[in-house]
Order: sequence, then C-alpha cells, then structure tokens
Amino acid sequence: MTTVDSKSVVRDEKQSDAFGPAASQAEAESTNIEHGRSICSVPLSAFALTSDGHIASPEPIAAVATSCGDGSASLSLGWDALPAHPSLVLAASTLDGRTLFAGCVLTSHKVREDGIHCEIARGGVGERVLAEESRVPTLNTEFFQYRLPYADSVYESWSRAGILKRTVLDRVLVCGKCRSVATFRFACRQCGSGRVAHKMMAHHFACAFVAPVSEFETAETLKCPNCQTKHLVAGTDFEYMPGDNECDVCGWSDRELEQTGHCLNCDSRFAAHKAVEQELVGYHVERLASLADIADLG
Amino acid sequence: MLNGWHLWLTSRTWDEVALLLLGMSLLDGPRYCVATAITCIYDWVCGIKRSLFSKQPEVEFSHCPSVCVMVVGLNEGSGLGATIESIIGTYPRVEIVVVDDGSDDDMAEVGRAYASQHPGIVRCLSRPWRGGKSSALNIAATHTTAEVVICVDADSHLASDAIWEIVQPFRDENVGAVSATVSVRNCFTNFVTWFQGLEYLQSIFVGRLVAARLNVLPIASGALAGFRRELLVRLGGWDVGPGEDLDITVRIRRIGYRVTFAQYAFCHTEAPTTWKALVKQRRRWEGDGPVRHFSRKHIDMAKPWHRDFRLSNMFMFLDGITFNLLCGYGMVIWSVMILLHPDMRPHPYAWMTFYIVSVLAEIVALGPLMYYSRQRKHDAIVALAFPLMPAYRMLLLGVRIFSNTAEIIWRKSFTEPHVPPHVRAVTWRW
Repeated sequence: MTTVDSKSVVRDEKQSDAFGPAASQAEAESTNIEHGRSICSVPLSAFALTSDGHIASPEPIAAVATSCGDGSASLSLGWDALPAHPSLVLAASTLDGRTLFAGCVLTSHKVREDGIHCEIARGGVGERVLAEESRVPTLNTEFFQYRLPYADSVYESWSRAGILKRTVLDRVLVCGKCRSVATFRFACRQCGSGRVAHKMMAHHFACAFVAPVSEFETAETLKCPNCQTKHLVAGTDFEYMPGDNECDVCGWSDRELEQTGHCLNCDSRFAAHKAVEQELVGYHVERLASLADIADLG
Repeated sequence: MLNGWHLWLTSRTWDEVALLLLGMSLLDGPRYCVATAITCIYDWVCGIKRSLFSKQPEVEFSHCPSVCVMVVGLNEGSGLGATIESIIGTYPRVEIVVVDDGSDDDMAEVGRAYASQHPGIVRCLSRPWRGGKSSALNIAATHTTAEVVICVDADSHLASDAIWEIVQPFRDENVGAVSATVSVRNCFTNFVTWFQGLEYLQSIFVGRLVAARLNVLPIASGALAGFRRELLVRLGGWDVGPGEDLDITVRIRRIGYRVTFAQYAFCHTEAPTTWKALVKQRRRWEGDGPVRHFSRKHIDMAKPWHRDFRLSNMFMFLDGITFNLLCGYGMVIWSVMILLHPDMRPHPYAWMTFYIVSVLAEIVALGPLMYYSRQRKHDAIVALAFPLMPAYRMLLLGVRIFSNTAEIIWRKSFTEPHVPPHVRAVTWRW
C-alpha cells in the first residue's frame, strides 16, 4: 500500500494548476480545507468495476484519499493501479473495525512522479449497485417473480470481494414450473378451482337418513325424503351437518378441500405441498454516507 | 355307574325317549349338526364329481367391482390403524371411508393421519357429536360412488383376500348383500373366548353356509358385510339400530334380492373376554332379531297376502322365530316337564343322557367344520372346547330367553345405549 505524507500532498496540491486560486489555497492551508474539501491522507481500498457492474478483481487497489468533499474527492494511486473502467467502489475502514463502502466514478487523473492523482465523484454503476433498491428483491409485475436488478453473477462477485453480505430476507412459495409467485386458496381437489359451494347435510334422527338439506326442502316445509315425515324441527327431529364441497367447474364433490396454488404467471394449479419454497435473498452493505466522512477516518 | 345308566336308559318308554330327544332338538348344537352334516355330505359328493368330470380349472377371483370399505366407529382410535392397515393394498379398486361418530378419543386424528398418508384411498369424516352407527354408515354412503359397499367394524381385521372373496357373489345381479365369516381373533385368551371361537366357527363359518344354501340367511353381520350400493340408495340406507345389520339385510330381501354367504371372506374380531361382557353383548344382540325385526317390524313379509311376501322370506322368518324365540321358551317348558316327570326328575341319568347326547352331536358337527376349514390345525385346537359347549349353549339360551322376554314386554332394545338418547327419543317403536 502506498503511504503518502499528508503535508507533502498539501504541498503538491498547492503547486498544482488544477486547484483553485492561490488566495483560497492559502486560506485553506491554514484550516486544512481546499476548494471546500478537507485535506487529509487516509488510506483506502478501491475495487475496480467492469462496465456491467462486476468486480474486476477481488484484490483491491491501494489508494490514499488526499482531499474529500461531500460528493467528490482526490485519490492518489500507485503507478500501475489505474483501472480500465472509471467506476470504483471505495472501501474505508473505520477506527472501530468496520468497513464502509461508496460507489465512485473517476472523473480525471494526472500521472505524476509519485503516482497517479485522480479526481473521483460519487456515482456510477458501483453506487447504483450499492443502493438499497438494488440489494432487495422486488416483485416483477410482468412475470410475478422476485428479482434483483442485476445479474446474480454481479452480486456473487461483490460478495466474494467482501462488499455485500448475502442475507435471506424471507421465504415464499412459488410455482414449481416457472418459479413465479402463486396465490393459495382452499379449492377443489380435482381441478384446483376455488369456485366451490359448501353443501349442508341433514340427518333425520328417526330413520337415520342422511342427505343434502336441499333434498329435505319442499315448498312449504322440511320433509324427510326417506320416510316422508313432514314438519321436521331442527334439533328435535333432525340435525344439520357439514357436508361436501361441490366444485362449480368440474362437479367434483369432496368433504375436504385442498390448499391449492394458482401460478400468477403460467396459470398452472398445484397442491400447496408441491409448491417450491424460494428464499428471497438480499444483500447487506454498510455505506459511506458522504465522501467528506473519509477525512474523519484518518 | 355305566351299568346303572344302561339299565335306566333301556327301561325308558318311547314317550320318555322322545321327551329327551325333544329337549336336545331345542339346543343349537344338536340342531346344527344335522343340517351341517347333510350339507357337508352333499358338498363332498359334488366335490368328488367335479374332480372326476370337470376339466376346466376354476378361476378363483374373476369379478373386480369398485369397492368402498366403510369403517365406522365410536372411540375406536386404538384399533383403527390396524383395521385400515389390513385393508390397504389387498384390493385394487378400493377406497376407505372412515367415519368417527363423535369420539372422545383420537379416532379422528388416526383416521386423518391415514387419509393424509393415502390420499385418494382413505378419507376420514368426523362428526362433532354422536349420532349413532346407522347415520354414520349413511354419511359414509353419501361419500362414495363405488359399486359395492363393505362395512367393517373398526375393531375388526380383514384377511388379505377377504375383499376379493366378498365381492365375487356380486357377479350375480340378484345378489344384494353378502355375509362373511367373522372369527374370533383372541380365542385363546381364556375359556370365554375359546367357547366363542368354536361357537363362531359353527354358527357362522358353517351355519351360515347352510342358511345361505337354503336361502334363509337373514343377516350380513356388521363386522364384515358387503352390499350393492344402488340398493342402499334405493332403501334410504340403514335404519336406526340396534340390529341395523339384520334390518338392512331383511330389507334387501324384501325388495327381492338374495343374501348370500362368502364363506372364506374372513374378518377377525375381538370377542368379549369376561362372562359379564359376553352376557351384556348377547343381551344386546338377541332381543332385537326375532322379536323386534321378525315379529314386529318386518312381519308383513311373511304374510301370504302381502305384496312383499316370498316363500323364502317366510321360511327365513319361521327359521328365525322358531329357533331363536320359540325354542328358548320350548326349552323352559321342556325343563318344567322333566322336573315334573316322576321318573326323570330325581334321576341324574336323565340329565347325564341329555348332556352326553348333546356332546355327541357337537362331535358330529365338528366333521363339517373340519371339512370346510382351510386352517385345520388352528380350528382343531379351537374345537377341543366341544365337551363343554352344551353347557355354554345352555347359558346363552338363558340369555336369549331373558332378552326376548324383555323385548316382548318392555321393548328393551329401544332403551339400548347403543343408540344416542336424542335418536332413541324420536325413532319409531316397532
């Protein structure tokens, strides 16, 4: 890792044409602030990214933050450390041992005797991957699948680099065929339709006859269709009992309904026990609130 | 002693010998021996004839209708699992409907566990409160469309080929119900179960064969019985019990269908193990048959001018009423006659003769039993109880007389706890 004396960095930057007028430099020197940035010398790690968001190499580049502002900062890199793609992820270690990450993009660089001096700004693909909406799966309303915005390989490379930590956020039951989200209901065992009508049965005590209540009902009274006894009184002459459920679609009749899944994507119906349990995986990261905070870590 | 007995016997007049023989004919054992011996000899001759002249091998099981086995019970959680296990896998087109009639034990849980293990084969229906066996059977019957319905008691185990055996007679479209053989599973527990073991073999395994041949079989026992489902629908299912198995069988006969017997469809059931439990069971069984059903509810079937009259049904009623009702009272009259007879009353030889001839009749009845038996070694051991069987039969005859009398006078079967009180209160009293 390249270590740079903070006073020499300040001296170099004073000589540089790239940074503001001399008067403000003098003012900043007295307060360690230059162009609204804190002058510092904080060792950092930087992960180079590819254009599609993958970590180019799990081995970080050593860097030193020489000045930090809210949305931009200056870095000093080794001679051979200039990344191929301008997107970076900065990793800054805190005094209590945590590592904070921020996505940056290289805006300019200068090759000098002691290495490469570059300007970075917060943003780029790294910052987009680190954003919360990129780390928590959301329901895709076209396919009804929980998805993350980037390819799995992106998250895997970030996890391997130790930036993202894989976390199981929830478990959901999905269709075994297409892995899409399904709705569940108690439905017909035969066709899986939720359009079932519950039939009530009646048990006539005197003759032990059992049939659906509809068979007992006549225009004027309740009458046992077996023994023809009329004017039946519930509780005294007969009792109501739970009967079968009859499917309006296929006509199947059964006492017990089955918990059935209906896939919102492919429309297939399946018994709940045949649904596939899918883990909703998210990623956790500790983000650097502002690039200006890097100065406090020195 | 033998000389004395011989002298006493040879000095009897023909009237006195006839009186002794009359008493024996009133007991079940000696009566069975005659009918079963004739049937056995007939089958033996037919068997020889068939083996000599028939060249076509017999196809054992050629009829395979769809079957629904209905297992209905109250607080039978402990035995239900074994009953279901004995059914599953023994027949290809079988469904099992378990009905828990408001049990307090874990019967419903056991049933549901099997239903979840065997979806599409086992179904469990549970009612929150008790409604009686008949309505529970009727509930089960509404949940099937199978051609044949088989009722099995929740504490009975079926032999592996029992369903195959019981469905074969349904090839004949005139057969409406099929009775099966109920055997005692715990027959070697003690003397009580041993006697019952031999009694079941004689009265069901062989006795029902004879009754079925004569077309006077009135019952397909609730422990294992097969019914043509369309007839159950036509008849409105089972009527309120007790004796619902006898009742439904008689009603099937009433509409012109035959009741036959599948001799080798075995169901192994648990018999009472104490005399008290046995007497209680028989008091429940005996009263409702000849009095409640034959003499009251279905007596019109035996009247020649009634539209449901059939000769075979009349003989069935005569058989039931004579042997199950009148013979009991005949035995009481006979005992009084013996006691009043000046020469027989003081003589132990009279009772000795009666008992020895009864035992000889039991021995004769063992011949057909052994002829038909497929497990002769087991049945031969069970048959060793024969010397005490006349005494056992006398005891049961006493229970029968008591039950019949209670039914005639007080209609005792309508106060049986077998039927829930709210059902008993509103059902018709025949």
